[in-house]
Amino acid sequence: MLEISGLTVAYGQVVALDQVSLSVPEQSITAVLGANGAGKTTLVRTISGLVRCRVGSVRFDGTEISRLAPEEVARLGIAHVPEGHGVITELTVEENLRLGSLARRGGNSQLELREAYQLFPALEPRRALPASSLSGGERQMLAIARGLAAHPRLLLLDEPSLGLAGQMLAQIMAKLRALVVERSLTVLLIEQNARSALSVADSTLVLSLGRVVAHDRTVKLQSDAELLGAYLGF
Amino acid sequence: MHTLLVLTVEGLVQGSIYAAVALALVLIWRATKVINFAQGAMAMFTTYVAWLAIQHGLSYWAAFGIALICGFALGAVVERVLVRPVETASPFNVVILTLGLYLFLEAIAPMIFGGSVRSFPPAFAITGLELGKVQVPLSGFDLFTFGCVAGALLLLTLLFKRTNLGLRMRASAFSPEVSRLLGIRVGRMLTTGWALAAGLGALAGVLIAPTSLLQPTYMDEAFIFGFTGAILGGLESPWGSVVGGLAIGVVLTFVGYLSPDLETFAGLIILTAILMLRPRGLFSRQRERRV
Amino acid sequence: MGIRWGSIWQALGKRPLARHGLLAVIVAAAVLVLSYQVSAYTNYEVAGVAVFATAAAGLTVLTGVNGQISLGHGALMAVGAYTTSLLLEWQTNLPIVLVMAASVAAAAAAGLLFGVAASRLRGPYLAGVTLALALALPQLALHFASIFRGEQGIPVTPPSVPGWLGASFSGEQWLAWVSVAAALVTMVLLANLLRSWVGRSLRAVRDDEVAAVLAGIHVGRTQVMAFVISSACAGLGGSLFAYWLGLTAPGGFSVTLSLQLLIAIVIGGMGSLVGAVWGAIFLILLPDLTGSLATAFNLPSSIGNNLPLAIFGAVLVLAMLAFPRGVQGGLTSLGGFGRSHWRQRRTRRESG
Repeated sequence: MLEISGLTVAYGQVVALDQVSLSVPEQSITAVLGANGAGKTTLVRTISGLVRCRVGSVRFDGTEISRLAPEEVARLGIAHVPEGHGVITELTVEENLRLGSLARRGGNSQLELREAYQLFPALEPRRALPASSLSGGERQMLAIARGLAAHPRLLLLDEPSLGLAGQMLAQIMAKLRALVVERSLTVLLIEQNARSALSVADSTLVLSLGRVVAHDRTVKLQSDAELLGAYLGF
Repeated sequence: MHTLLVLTVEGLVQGSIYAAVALALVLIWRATKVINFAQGAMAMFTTYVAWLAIQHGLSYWAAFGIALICGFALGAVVERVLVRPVETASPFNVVILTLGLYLFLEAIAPMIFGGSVRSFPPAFAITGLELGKVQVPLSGFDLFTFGCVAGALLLLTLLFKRTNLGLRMRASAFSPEVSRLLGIRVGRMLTTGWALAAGLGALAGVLIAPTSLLQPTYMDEAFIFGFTGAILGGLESPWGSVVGGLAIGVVLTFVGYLSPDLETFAGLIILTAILMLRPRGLFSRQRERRV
Repeated sequence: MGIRWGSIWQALGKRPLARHGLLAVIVAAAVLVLSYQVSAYTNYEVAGVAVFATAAAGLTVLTGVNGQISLGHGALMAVGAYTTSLLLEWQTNLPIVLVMAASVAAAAAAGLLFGVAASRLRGPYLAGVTLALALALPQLALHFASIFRGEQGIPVTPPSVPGWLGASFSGEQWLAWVSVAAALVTMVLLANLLRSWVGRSLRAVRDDEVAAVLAGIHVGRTQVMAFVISSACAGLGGSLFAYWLGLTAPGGFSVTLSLQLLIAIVIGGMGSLVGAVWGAIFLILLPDLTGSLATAFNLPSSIGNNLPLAIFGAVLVLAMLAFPRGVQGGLTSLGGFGRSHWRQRRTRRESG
């Protein structure tokens, strides 16, 4: 459903992504791993339209989206939960969620709110509070719930593990797994914390210095100890 | 005691107009981090248009409506055509741009509408009301002025707090990038914000016109006092700016009573004093860099 | 020819005072000679250019070099103008240098006062406060009408031509000489100041306040210093303005005056002293042009009178649209030869 080919992105002289190609199959979770500065965040920011690529193409269900504005990309059904969650702290929890559901055409926000609270019950008692009153982990949950409220076809998750304690992270990963089946969701999961991602992803992509160095079924990669050592630090 | 009451009431009425200008400035600031120095001039221009409508035989209310609509339109056009291209550059450039617009509008108004000072009719009588045997220090027009501004504030509050459009606008102002990711057409929200602000400004322009007479520079002081009110309340706070505007209105009315002709100077002193204490406004949450 | 210029320039480069002084003398000589050839009206215009150039030069230092925007320098010109007018009213034959010096001092004092109050302000806050200054100060003249003669203002007799120049020497010519001399002195002083540690501090604070502090620069004092310097220039310009207009009244010092100074420095290139001159020329010439246009096309006065301002406003707007990145702090200029122009040519010749 997502086909990226020959993607090159540069910030001035610095090349962040170099001829990256990958394809993300439907109803799956693909992890994108790599060290700091490998280009993972640039990759998702290019997909969601925040960054313009120099060369290359990004096709979503056959439609070329690399030249679209971010708001257009979002309306096509791609939800990007940015690094550092991107919760709007001046708004309340419920307002943040409502914003998520607004992106969905013909959405019934009441329904989406209920779904969000079912998914993350910790949010419900805080619904009228400003998002600034939430802890880091709760904000991450809010951000993910907000992304999901739009009923996206593709969810781009950038480093959800930041600020999340181990157990909460595992819970969220499990819920994502379930949603992939329930809602035909496709997930592109960016992570530095390789372990949590590897445990839940169907395929894994490894980036290093802007290049794809590995892209395979997770199970296969996990057994490649050399690769794990060189790029992922274990 | 009676004088005190009269002055306070007068001050609140006058202050309500400054509050409208202050709020308009804050709306634009929150959306685009720009102080629209042309706000007063834009209001002046739309009021001239309304004046023209009245000259052509239209009723006050039709002219009133025309002023508001022109305000909305002018705000939208200015944002889209002039401010948008320059927004991303340094804020310095936007200041100069709005100043240029101010000059331009102040110059073409007399070119289009003629140079002499005009009078503008009030909506209602400007003589004091009588309740039974008591002479109330308020005129029909005073009440109308206060009511209009209060009504506009109420509508705006409902818009921002209760509607999806308002939610999108607030989100766009707080976090434009995240809002884009949520499918919000941030550009359109900014334009709408400017349109609303300019509409508010136009309202203020029409309400002030009967007392200050219509001439190209007549909104200059209202702008500065509105600006002072906005700074007093903190540019980030809509309610703060309203309170600020009202406060300035009251204070300056007292000053004007004690010493006419010195209102603007008093305004300068107040503004400078506020900013000396808190270079970012009294109620702002930002801490200024202590260097 | 080019090489000879370069080496002379290089030699002088080591002694900036000499170089600036030489340039000033050359310009002064040129003006001197030309003033005999041209009409009284042209001399009058030259004086006008000098007036605005003096004030604009100060403003370009404040805004272009130091990064502080001011919409209130018209009010500071008013301080200078009123000082001059009141002194002359008191004693008509005070030496002109004394009068100008007093005006400079008065405006500098006002600038000091205001600069201290505003030293922590930045951006739109500073702009707003200075705008308030522009609106409020002329009001003082109206309120204290007994001293300042209210709306009617104080008439000013132009400086009398000294006897040794001969009876046929015109008043306009003398006005032009005096004004140009004042402007040139201002330019030379500013140019030297900019090359010194003062200029470096001003620029440093504009470019990066935190870095400036780390480098040992006291930001508050620098800001105030810039304000005082620019106010002094505005005061001198105001004094010349009083002589030039022949009348000092509140009406002559509206917000428009402050904005006109801003236009001059934007057009001439912010931070550029030579640019301030170009800007001043633009300010003086445009009303002339539009005036001729208005007469030629028989335009009504409401259009003719306001055309210059409309064009000024439009120019500001278009300049910002056309150069969204380049105007602040840089030496880009729309119509003039900024210093960078000179430097670029020299470097290219040297390296190539």
